Amino acid sequence: MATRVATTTLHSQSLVRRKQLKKLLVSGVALVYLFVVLLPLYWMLRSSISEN
Amino acid sequence: MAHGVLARRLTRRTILKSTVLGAFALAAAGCNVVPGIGAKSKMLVWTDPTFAPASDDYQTKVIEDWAKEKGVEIEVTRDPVDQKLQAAVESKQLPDISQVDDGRYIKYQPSGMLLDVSDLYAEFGKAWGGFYKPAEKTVTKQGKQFMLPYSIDSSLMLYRNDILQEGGVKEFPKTWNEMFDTVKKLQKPPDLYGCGFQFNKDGTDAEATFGMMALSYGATLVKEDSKTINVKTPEMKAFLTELKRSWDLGVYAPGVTGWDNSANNVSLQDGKAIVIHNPASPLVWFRNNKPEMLPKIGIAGTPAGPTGKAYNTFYLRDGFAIMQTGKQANIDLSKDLMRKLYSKDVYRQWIGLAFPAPAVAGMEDHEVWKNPQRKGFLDAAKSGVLTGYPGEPTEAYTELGSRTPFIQMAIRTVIDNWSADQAMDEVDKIARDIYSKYYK
Amino acid sequence: MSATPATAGTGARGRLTARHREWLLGYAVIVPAFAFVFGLILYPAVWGIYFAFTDKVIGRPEKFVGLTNFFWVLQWPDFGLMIVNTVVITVLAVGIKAIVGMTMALVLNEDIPFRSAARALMFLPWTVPSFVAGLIWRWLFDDQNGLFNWGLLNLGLIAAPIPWLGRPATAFMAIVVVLVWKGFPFFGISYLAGLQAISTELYEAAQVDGANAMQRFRHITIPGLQHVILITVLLSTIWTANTFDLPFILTGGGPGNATEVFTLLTYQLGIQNGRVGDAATVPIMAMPFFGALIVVLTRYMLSREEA
Repeated sequence: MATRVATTTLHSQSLVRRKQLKKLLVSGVALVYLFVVLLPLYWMLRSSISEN
Repeated sequence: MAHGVLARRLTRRTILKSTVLGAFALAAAGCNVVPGIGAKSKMLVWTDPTFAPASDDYQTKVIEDWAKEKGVEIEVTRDPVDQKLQAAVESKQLPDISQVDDGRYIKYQPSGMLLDVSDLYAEFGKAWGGFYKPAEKTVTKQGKQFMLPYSIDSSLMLYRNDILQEGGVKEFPKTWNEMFDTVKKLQKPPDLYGCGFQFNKDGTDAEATFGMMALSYGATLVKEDSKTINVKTPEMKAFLTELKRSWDLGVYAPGVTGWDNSANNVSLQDGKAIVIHNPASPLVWFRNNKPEMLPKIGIAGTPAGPTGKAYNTFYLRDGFAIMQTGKQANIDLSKDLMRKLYSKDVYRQWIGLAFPAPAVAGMEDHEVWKNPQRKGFLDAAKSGVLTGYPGEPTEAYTELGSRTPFIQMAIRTVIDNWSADQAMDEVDKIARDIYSKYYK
Repeated sequence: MSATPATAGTGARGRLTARHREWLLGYAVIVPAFAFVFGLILYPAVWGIYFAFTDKVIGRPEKFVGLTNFFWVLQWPDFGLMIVNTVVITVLAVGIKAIVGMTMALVLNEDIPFRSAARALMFLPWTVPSFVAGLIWRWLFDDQNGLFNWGLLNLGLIAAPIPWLGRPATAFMAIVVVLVWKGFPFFGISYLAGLQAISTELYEAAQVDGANAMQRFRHITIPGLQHVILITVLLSTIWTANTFDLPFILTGGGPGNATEVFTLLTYQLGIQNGRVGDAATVPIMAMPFFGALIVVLTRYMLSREEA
């Protein structure tokens, strides 16, 4: 009985950790995407408002 | 609803009908389908933007002030004319005046859409002591003129004289061979390279560079009769061999294969190249942005080849063509506008602000020629060779030029590692193909 | 009995019935659209096909020359290379756009912070005019003053600037990169919309059955997005293969002819050389390919409508 409870607890912990990892990975990918998308646009804006 | 009562209700159908009819009316007015409604008769002047915005702005203001004085509605556009003119000529929706250079003149004069302006040409020639010979030769067809030349230009070697002096080189090398060896010694890659020549079809400045280099080696694309193809010669091979040698010396920045016509200017302006071959536009940039650099920029004629001869190219940079619009009132006004632009005060002022030289011979007392850099360009343009040299500037040669044959051979030799014979064979075939359409 | 619309308003001879008036109004409303299609698409297309069989040069009258132009264009230097470039750029760009777009959709379908803002921002490249996008990226790739070289040099990752647009391989890659940057939001937004239509119960049931993420993706997501994937890939293939502005601005077909595509050849022949007849042959040679794609796409979309 105690073993079953311990196993269930371990399983839930690993599930939570996997969910956290997934969230981290997804957010990381989103940030990379945003950087790639926004860098050229930032450059465009910067150039359009500079004098040279 | 009562019968007999002419009550009008705002139904959905009525709104729809009115919208459709209204849209038709607007479209018809906009398309001049119904003359007089929305269509206004005004003058249209097409001009190109140049590397000297001050001269562009001045010219536009002169035109607009002239129009105000005459009570004429005018639209002056300042964007690249080439593609617009193609569509205009084809659709016969012509502007009143279009800026025309030597290339466009050769292309469009045969269409018959350019007005014969021999009378104005003679008038301005008399007022200004004549036009320079290359300009006269370019615009005269069977004794008549169909455009008015305004400015002429050349490409010269623009180089960092301070770097040469530092390296113990007192004057600019006289031959191509010497020049490549000299810049090889002076360059400091990757920050500073010897030559800023484009090896790219987009960098058409290099077509003039390689063309003049080839000429100095005695190589030409056509013979003096303007019809016989002359690509595959020992002289052309010698020119390509020297070009390949310069490439293998490593005097070009790695990016030159992707450069357009502004990149070589930038390389000199940013101190990344020792020498470029270009019209005077970088001098205008230095004047406006880095005036302290101007005294360090030297200019020299294109170097000589083994023949001992050196050649400078000639461009008819600005000119005006009055178009055959069929509107006599506008044609008369256009002639009057030309008189304004060729008047002493306007023309002299424009030359002071612009970077090319005037097409007229009677401006050599202008104070801009005290600047040796600008004087150099004037002298080179006056004695420059026309497109098609040693033959005439023909349509066939202009079409061949649009294929950038010298750049094509250069790219094949240095990028694709073709032999000189292979590169010449390809351009020879292209040339024969084009010329066979003009000369059966 | 009230009058039927067919007979309502019928009076003296010559007067229109209500149905006729309805028809007239309907035709009047579609006339602008028809005029647009006819004037800007059909009319130039028919003239273009005609010119391909003539020696038309700007400003001169044309003469019929049969298939001469086609044989002439086939002998254009590096014609074969031009076809290969067009195909490879299209396949690479569309493939990468689909993958990147799918990733974008999957990420934006998750519950991440500032999801709404991220969705809006990720769509931005699609809204930037192609010409502007080309100019920005040309700047970024510039060998003398470009941001990429500046960054890599300052980080000490390279000793000398890389001529991104001056070497065949990197120039090729640069065009693909910009095409992907510009076009992936179209895929992303389409797939994201498609994902909303897939029931979450399917995923839950699969999870309960022990399916891992990859299995759920393979057996639920992909089949669920099948029609969206097909339509986006087909449309993007047509658009990408027809792209002119980005290759024109970035490389102009160079270095040499390394990135020459058929749209650039059309431009060179028609606009730079003024040889309209020769220029018109190039897109006509590509027509069967696009025609086949359009037939496949239309048939697929119609069959789905019927289903």
